[in-house]
Formats: sequence, structure tokens, C-alpha cells
Amino acid sequence: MRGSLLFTASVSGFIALLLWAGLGYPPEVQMLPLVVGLPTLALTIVLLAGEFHPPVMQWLDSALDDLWGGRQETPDAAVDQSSTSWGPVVRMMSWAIGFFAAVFLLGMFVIPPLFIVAYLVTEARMRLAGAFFASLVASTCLYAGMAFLGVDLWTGSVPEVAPGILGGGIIPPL
Amino acid sequence: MQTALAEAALRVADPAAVLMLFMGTTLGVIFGALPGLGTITALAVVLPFTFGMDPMLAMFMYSGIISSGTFGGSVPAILLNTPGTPPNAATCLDGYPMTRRGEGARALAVSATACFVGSLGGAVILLALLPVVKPVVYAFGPPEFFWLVVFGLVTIAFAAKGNMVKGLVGGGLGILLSLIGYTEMYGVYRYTLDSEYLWDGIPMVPFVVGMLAVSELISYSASGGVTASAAAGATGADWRRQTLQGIRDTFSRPLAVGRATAIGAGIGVIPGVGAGVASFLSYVVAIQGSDKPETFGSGNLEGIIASETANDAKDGGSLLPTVAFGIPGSADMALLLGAFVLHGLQPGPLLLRDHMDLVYALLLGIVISQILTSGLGLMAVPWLARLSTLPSRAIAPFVLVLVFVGMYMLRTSIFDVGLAVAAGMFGYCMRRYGFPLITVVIGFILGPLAEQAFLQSLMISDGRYDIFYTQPIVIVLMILTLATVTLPFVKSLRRWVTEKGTGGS
Repeated sequence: MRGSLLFTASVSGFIALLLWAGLGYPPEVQMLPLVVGLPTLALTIVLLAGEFHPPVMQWLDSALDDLWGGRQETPDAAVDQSSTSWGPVVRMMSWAIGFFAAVFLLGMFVIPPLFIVAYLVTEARMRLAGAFFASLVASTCLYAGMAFLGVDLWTGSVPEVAPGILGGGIIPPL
Repeated sequence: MQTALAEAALRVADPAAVLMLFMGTTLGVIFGALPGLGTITALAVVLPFTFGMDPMLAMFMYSGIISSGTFGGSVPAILLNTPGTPPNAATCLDGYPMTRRGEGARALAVSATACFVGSLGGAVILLALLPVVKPVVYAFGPPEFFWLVVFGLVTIAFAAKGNMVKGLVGGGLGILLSLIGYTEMYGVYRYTLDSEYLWDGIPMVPFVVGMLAVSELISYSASGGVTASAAAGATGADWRRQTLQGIRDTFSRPLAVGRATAIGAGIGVIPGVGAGVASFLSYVVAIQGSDKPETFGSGNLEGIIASETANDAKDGGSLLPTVAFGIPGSADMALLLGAFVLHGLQPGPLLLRDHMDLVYALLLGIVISQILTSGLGLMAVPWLARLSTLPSRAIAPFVLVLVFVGMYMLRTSIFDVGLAVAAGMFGYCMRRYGFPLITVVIGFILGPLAEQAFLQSLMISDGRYDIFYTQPIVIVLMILTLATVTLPFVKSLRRWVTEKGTGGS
């Protein structure tokens, strides 16, 4: 299945779910979800139809643009994302998720310096010494700034190892 | 009045006052530039430290923070497509495309100059309106507020151009996501799935920063290269020449600047509307007034002028109801109100009668701090712009750490960080499949404001809808909104008729 079709179908399903869930609320509370959700759902259905008949979608977009003053590209669409293969994207997303998971467990004192070094060495192909120096400078600025502002950084959700630095963070209710 | 102004002006020359201004300006720029923070956090941080301080000196520090945050927020918006504060999102629309084509320094210079002119204009308008503001403030109730926000929401249609259907879907989705949470008006939890985290809704800053910044980070790290890669020879760009060009660009567009100043200050006067509405509304009006509306969103510097000037002019405007009636014009002004009380001052007519020197101190502070911000900013532009030529993979870890720490600092909730990451991944998919992200953001920021104003209006009118089209200001705003929506269609229709006539003859 094409990625765009899958994504549009997911968005469409999500909006439909919100609309369906909204029906259980009092009339005043469900008003805006219905007023906004129904046309949005209708437009996603148009998009889904366009996935199967791309010329229809192109015609519709161009007709709407002609009516609306005739602009040809949007800021986000201007950068062609589809030319990037999924491999590097998934790799970058994995870095972000991994960084979050590591910070969640081990906190913001230990992980950011290690993350910077690891990322610079593996992804930016920087030498270890350079990456270490960059990480040291960034971390010093970060911790000095936080100390100046009196901000307590997240110490991680693992059991307390070093008080105020590693572990012992209380996970808020989700 | 002149005595009070002279007294405040004399105090500005005091070295301690200069130091406070400088400290406030520095803090404002830093907090503005860090995604997720902003002037409100900066004010909240310094407030306890100013307790016991000479009120005049404290005012200088507050004004430094208030006026400099906007420019600070525009720097990452232009260079990294990462708005430092939510209102800077409108600056991303044209600022980032300029950076991508190697004109980052020019865009930053336009922003610095626009911020300066906006601040100055806002202060002048404040002084001019001080005696007559009362009826203006009291004339704006929920129905007027509703139409103002709807006017702002019209931006979605403009931002969606070129990809209209997907853009409108994005706008709708943004509004729907913003509806999650406790509805104060009716005491119902909407779409919260019994999650305590969602009681207050999806937090705006992590969502917006995730959608714009983290998704951009994923995008440019995955594709490699440098941000300004689209510009041939960007690494050899003449940053100083671009900076001077940016200054000239702003001053050579007095109409655009004046219009944005008037909109920003006007919106600022109305309590509770906020900078988000000011910048987006100014953006819409700039498109309407432009000869080349199709170039907006792809690097038109009038777009930056519109959002940044209005954003800064708003400060002067929102100071007006704050000092004159004790009604905060915006969230940061609400904190300023707290600061007044902290110093034993009672905002309102008594403040204007007994402590006019402090009001002038704030005003002078805002202008001088903006001169400092814009001056130092312009000097730093050539160096800042070089960021756009660094390999994106070398910048990525620092930006991600900054986003993580910024998001955590906001409410000290680790889940806000997770939300930013999740929103970033969702945002990347939207980008990849051609959904303009900015429409989601506009819907998300303005949607709840529209609903709240709509429901409040209905409560006031006992459920009668004529409240939305019977009062004079409401009618004017309604006509303006409808004209904004229909004018492009009418223009197209006329063009079509003309072309048909020419073709037929």
C-alpha cells in the first residue's frame, strides 16, 4: 500500500473516530467538533478518492488555486520530502525516540552529553575528540544556564543512584 | 505628564537602569530564542528577584524582557523553522524559505528592523491612545473577539494555497486536536480518554515545537546537506551586504510597516487576544494588500515584516489596558500586573495619576531595549546566518537537546518532551505527504479561542445567534472577514470574465 494512501486513510479514520466519540457529549460540547470535523472528514474522503485517481486531485487543487489567486507551491510542500528514502528518516526518528527513552530512564544530566557525542561521531562523522569537546561546551552552557535559572532538570525514572543527578525522578500521572 | 516623562528619561541614564535594561534584554532574547520558553517564563523567573528592588529599576528589567523576546523568537524561526515562541510561527512561513535560498541574513535583518519599528510604533500609539482607550477596551466583548479570531483563522486558507484540500484538512485537524481537554464552559472532559495528562488539553508549546521543529529536524537530518543548500553558493554569501539590504527592505516599505504596527497595537489593546492573533491577522492583511499575494509563503519579506512588526507593536498596545485599567492585555501583561502588585502599586487610574513616571519608564524601557536588541541583533546577524551553512547533521543533536530541555522546563513534565517527539514524527509524515504544517498550527492555536468566544457570546445572548451580526464593531469585523474570504474569488472571476471577453473578441 502506498504511504500517502495509508497516511490519509489514518488521518481520515482518526477524524471519524473523533466525530463518533463526540456524539456522546452534550450538544454545546459536540458542536465545534461536528462543525469542523464533518467538512474535514469530507475533504479527507476527497483526498482518498484522489489517491486512486490522482488527476482528479490535481484538477481540484489547481481549480481551487485558480479561484483563490493562483499560487503554485506552499512553504512546506516546497521542500520535496518524498525524494528522501525512508531509511535515513527512520534512522533519525529512532535517534529521537532512543534519546527520549534514555532521558526518561536516566535523566538530563547523564544522557544529553553522551547523545551529542554518539550522534556527532556516528551521523556527522566527526572525530571523537571534536565531538567530545563540542559536547563538553554545550553541556557546560546547559548546566550553567539551568543552575543560574534554578531549574531542576529531570533526573530519570530509574531508582535513585546519585541524588539530584541520576535516578529518583517521580513520573507524573499520565 | 511632562515632569513624569522627564523623570523617567533621567532615570534611564542611570548606570543601574542601563544594567537592568541590558540584563532584561539579554534574558528576553535568550528565553525568546529557546523553543518553548518565551517572555512569560522569563518574567516568571525574574519576578521573585525583583522583589524589594527599586520599582523603577524593576520596570526597566521587565520592559527589557517584554520587548526583546520577539526578536529572539524569530531567530530560530527564520534559521531552523523552529518558532521560539508560538506567535513567531507566522515568521516561519516566509523566513525559513528565505534561509533555504541563502538569504538568512537578509531575513534576520528584516526581522530585527521590523521589531524595532514595531516597538517604537507600539509605544507611540500607546502614548496617543492613553487618554481615549477606555471606550475601545470596553467595546470589545466575546462576539467581537470571536470575529477577530475567525479573521485570524482565515490565514489557514491562505497558507493552504497550492495544496488547498490538504491545507484545509490540516487546519481542521489542528482545530480538532485543540479541542481535546476539559471544557471550562460546560465542565466536560472532551476526548481525554481518562488521561490526567490530557485534562488541560494537548499542551500548545510542545505540540507546536514538535510539529515545526522536530519534524524539520528529522527532515534535514535525514536528507543531510546544509539548510541553505537550495541557494547556489550560499556558503559564499555576503552576509553583511544582506544585512544592510534587510534594513533597507524594511524602511522602504513604510505602508507595510505602518499597517502591521497599527494591527499589532490595535490587537494588543484588546485584552486576551494575544500575539498569535496579531501576527497571523497582520499576515493575512499583508497578503490582501500585496500586489503579489502568490509569493507569500515562499520567502516574501513582507510576510516577515507583517508578523514581526505586529508582534512587537502588540507590546505597546497590550500595556495600555494593563496600566490604565488593570486589565492584562496578554499573558505576559498578566504577570506584569502581578509585578505591579508585588511592588505595592495598584494598576488602573490611580497608577496613571500617582506613578505616571513608572508607566513612562516601562515605555522608554521597551523602546531602548528594542534599540539594544535590534542593534546587537543586526551586528550578530552575519554570524547567526552562518548557522544555515553548517552541515545539518552537526546541528541536529544540539537542537534536539535544546528542544528536550526547553519542553521539560516549561511545566517540568517529562511527557511534554515525549509529546514533542511524537508530534514531530506525525508532523514529518504530514510534510512528506504534502500537508502544509502551518495550517495545523494555526488551527491549533486559534481554534480554542474561537470556540471560547463563540460560547461566551451565546451565554451572554441567552443562546441567540443575532449577537454575531447585530452590533456595529461585529458587523465591521464580519464584513472584513467575509471580504477577505471572497475577494480572491471575485478577483479570479473578474479575471476569468476579462480573459473570456478578450478571447471571444
